[in-house]
Amino acid sequence: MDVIGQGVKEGILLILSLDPELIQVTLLSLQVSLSALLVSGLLGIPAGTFLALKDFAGRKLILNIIYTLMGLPPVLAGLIVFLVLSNRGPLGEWQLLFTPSAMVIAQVLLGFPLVAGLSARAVMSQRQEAYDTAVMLGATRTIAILSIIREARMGIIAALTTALGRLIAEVGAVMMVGGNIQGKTRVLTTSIVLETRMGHDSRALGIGIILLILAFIIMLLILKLEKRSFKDDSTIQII
Amino acid sequence: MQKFRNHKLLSFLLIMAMLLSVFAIAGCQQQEEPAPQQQAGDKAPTPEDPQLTLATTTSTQDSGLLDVILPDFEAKTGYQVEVIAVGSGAAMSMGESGDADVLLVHSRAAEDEFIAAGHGVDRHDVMYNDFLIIGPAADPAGIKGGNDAVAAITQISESEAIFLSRGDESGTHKKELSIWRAAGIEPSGDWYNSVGKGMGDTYRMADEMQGYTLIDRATYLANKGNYSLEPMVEGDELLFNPYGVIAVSPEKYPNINYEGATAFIQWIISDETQALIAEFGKDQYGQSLFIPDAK
Amino acid sequence: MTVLFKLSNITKSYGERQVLNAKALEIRAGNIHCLLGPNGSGKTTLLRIMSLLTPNDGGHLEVLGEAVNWQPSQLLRLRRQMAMVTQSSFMFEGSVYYNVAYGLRARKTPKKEIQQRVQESLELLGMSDFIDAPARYLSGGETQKVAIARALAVRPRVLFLDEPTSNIDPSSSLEIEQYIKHINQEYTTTIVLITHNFFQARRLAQHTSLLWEGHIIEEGPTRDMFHNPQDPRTRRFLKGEY
Repeated sequence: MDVIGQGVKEGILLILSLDPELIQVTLLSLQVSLSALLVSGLLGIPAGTFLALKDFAGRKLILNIIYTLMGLPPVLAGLIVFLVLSNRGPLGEWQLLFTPSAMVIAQVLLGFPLVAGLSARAVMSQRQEAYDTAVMLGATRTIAILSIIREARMGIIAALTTALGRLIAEVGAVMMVGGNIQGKTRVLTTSIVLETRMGHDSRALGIGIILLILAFIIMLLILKLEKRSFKDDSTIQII
Repeated sequence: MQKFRNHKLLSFLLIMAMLLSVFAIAGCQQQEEPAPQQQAGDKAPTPEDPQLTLATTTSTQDSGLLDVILPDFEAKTGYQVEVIAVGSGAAMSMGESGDADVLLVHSRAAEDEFIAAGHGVDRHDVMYNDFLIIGPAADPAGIKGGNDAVAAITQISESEAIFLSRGDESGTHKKELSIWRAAGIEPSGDWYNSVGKGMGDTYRMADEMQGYTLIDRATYLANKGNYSLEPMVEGDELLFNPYGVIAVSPEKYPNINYEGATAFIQWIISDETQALIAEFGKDQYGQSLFIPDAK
Repeated sequence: MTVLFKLSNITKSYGERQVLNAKALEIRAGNIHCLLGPNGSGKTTLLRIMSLLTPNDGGHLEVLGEAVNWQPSQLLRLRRQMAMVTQSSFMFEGSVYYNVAYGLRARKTPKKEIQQRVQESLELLGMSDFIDAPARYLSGGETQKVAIARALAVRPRVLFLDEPTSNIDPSSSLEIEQYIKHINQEYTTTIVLITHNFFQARRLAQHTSLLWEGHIIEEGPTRDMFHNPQDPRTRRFLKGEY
């Protein structure tokens, strides 16, 4: 079981070596997952807010569908996007298969339900008083809704961090629609799969460590960006 | 009350799940039991040690070749063959440690080393399968119909036509690299896609990208109905993939079944078995998957 | 005196249950008008209808001289002349400053003026020291004072107070009552006060309406009501039987 120690060592050496290929792979991982997160957020937060605040026929059904899709298997998302973007698929002419754009699309399919569903939950947990207070202070409906989103931001940030965690660690979808092409669509997770298949277990573990460190840094940055909110939200003391 | 009922339901589901698992496992075990060897009949001789361990590559097993030809061996000689299908490298290290009696592998250079190091004896050529270069019907590199692999990949590289490499250190990948080496080209650039995937996935990607790739004939024949890529170059000796049979050294491991290994080697290079190999695949694909070449 | 609110036959039901059936109510400018009554008598529902937060089912509602049509533009225009403080006021996540400035920001008031008005309002309530404090960490009494400052900052014509002191201790309660009086006198702000505490009504209101199971059973100058109640139910309420 020396492999684990070796892997940790190799991971550290890999980071220190600043291997250009690995840097490129890491940057692509970040680029794909952050782009997908951005799109998921831009679509998912408004969608979740809308579903939380607007009562209309079919709302429950849509919410339930979104909650279900929160557990969409990445491979299935990948397969769907693959079939749509394939030369035989309806959007084949776009020639997007095996490009980072396709990977972003597949990841949005995974990220959007997560952001929308969790944002909806966060907004729904806000009380009527928040809206009443805003409009009684002369806020327009839009401003009042923005204020509710602001009040729900802890939950929405949690939604975004959860989504990012899922996207950056996800391998099934990017493998299928990206194709793991060296220098083009290879990301950290697909590298781990490849290295494992080639029997380079310690190198695979090393790349895994980089992935973990990356996730850790991103979480730290998000926490720092929202430091004020988190400071206000002091922990419950259990005596 | 509602809660209590939910508990009951949960327990019921759990028990059902456990029962199902038990049945599933039992079912698998039944399937694994070897079918009785009817061909063995009464005439089959009974060897002193009827257990023979064959370490071989996944391709011989996965293609179905062994299933077709081994019953003949067992019927004729009375040996029971235990097949361990792994990569060529792993198969040879099993031979090196005395865990297998006889090897059927395809890695010529490593095989010679294996013999030279005294791990094995009695090496014989058995057969070869071959690789081919496939590509899009439009053939942007203009290589269709040739039989010179080096010339073909040189043209692909010069025209910067899309090429997909397995890129996974597999036997096929090593074969591809050896062709590039022979051409004196270090492939790189936007047109060269190292995909790090298995043969089936690489084939699928090459079809989507309408690129060229190197593929083993068995995988090509099994999947060609689904895809549009066409054979471009085949028949070059560089594209051959020779299989050899080796007995593990009895001097090194006196208790291995050398007698059985010898019987296996004699049988597999016999004209009758070679004819069986040549027939294999013809009914399904219209051509042989392995071409016998024992001398 | 101008009539700011004119209600006739206003009804509201939740499902089968009618919670409000107010035959007639007028609230005049400049007064502190108290809606008095036991819990569940429909006071808050009435207040929510007057503050345009809950649409009425039936009847006629006139607010600040306009017949209410519930169009967003009208709601916005009318609400911008009102403000409200509730039992335990909701504070937005953020500082006291953020909260008190909220209504002014919504009105796109210049930043300089916002700062000045926030200062003034907090000073009036004796809360200047708390300007940078996180609003969610104030005590009950402090929260209510900030809420009043927040309402005051937008200079409303009408200030709704829904049980503003029922969640806080008696001394803070009296202090807040002084501020309410002061606001009514200094800014000539009309105040609609909901309370179930008839002592508070007597201390503050010129005019009182008594609600009982959704009906306004008695209405008039506060003094008269306390000295000479007409309805037997009023008498019982004032004796503390409910």
